[in-house]
Amino acid sequence: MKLLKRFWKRLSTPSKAAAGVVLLMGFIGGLLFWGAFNTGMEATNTEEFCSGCHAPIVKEIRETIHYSNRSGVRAICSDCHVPHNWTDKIVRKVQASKELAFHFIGTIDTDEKFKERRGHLAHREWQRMKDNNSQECRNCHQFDYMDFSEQGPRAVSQHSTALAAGDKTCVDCHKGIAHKLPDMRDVAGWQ
Amino acid sequence: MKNIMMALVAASALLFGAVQAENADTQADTNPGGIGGVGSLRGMSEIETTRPADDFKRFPKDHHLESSYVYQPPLVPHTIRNYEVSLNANKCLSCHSWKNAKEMGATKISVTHYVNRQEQVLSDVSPRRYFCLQCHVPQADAKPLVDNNFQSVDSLR
Amino acid sequence: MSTLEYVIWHILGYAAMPVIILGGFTAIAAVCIGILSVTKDKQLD
Repeated sequence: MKLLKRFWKRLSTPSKAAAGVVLLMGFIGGLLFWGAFNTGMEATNTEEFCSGCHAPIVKEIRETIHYSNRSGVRAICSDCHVPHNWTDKIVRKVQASKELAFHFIGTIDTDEKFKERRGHLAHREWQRMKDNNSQECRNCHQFDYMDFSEQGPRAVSQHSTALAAGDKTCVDCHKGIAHKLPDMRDVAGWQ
Repeated sequence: MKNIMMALVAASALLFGAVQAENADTQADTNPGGIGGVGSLRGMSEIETTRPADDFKRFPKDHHLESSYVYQPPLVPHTIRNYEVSLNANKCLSCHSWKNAKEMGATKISVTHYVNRQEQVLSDVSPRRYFCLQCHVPQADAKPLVDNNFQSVDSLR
Repeated sequence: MSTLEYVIWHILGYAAMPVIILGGFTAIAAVCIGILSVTKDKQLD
């Protein structure tokens, strides 16, 4: 309490330094803070960070088209699982405290536990993507710029109907594009 | 003086002989009968040489191939990269099952896929036909290795 | 995600934003005041 009072007193007392000096320090301090904050944020978005806990899932992506393909344009964990715009990203990062808690109580720390919970986790993600209109997919794959003359016949017929009308969103059909599938017994459109 | 000369001559003779022996090594001494020349579908290849690897074979993304004989499992005309066929999910059936085929505009799997070994008709795909890729394959751009003048029957040509 | 979970995370998430901003300001202010105490504002401390 005493410390706070002292701090407040200092903040409300004029400084002997020139106004420009104080303003410059504030500006540079703000710059450094914002840079450090975002660097920290991006560090939690890297593949290495995610594999720290989710290594088996990250391994599954290695055979898929989002990992290695003709053009070399790829997506990593955060491109699909972390929203891009700042406000939604912060909400997701705060939500990640739940994952941290589960990590410490070891909810999926063995293979068997993970297999059991896998369907639940997959459905959560699919539901989230469906609710936000597969926004993470659309960050790269923009429907308005799809060239149907370059797509195969199956893609053209599906994209020009269900996707265009808004009945379906990307994730409704493209489940399993990045990771192996859980039990698809009760999922619409599978078997 | 004479001894030194003799020693020098002997040493050089030895050296010369050793060099000759080394030359002989690379020719006939390690493979007395020659290198054989194994004949295979890749042509006459020598055992010791490593031939450069062939190019990757490509799968055309969409093309149609006629069946060559009755009961042939039809070739897959489209790309199937990363399509998962496992106990958890069968991507092929997500379009080709009787439930989904109409909506997806795909060929239904034939009734033979619903019959088990005792020729009983089941209510869903028989486990013996569940793993599609055991019979149905896409055609890569691989040329036949041997000459082949197979002709399909008139009704299928 | 259930509605309850959605509400909880969004409240916490949006509440975190001013916390980040204000916290950042406080941290920078403390550092700058510290620097000034050593340089220009020696007698005030």
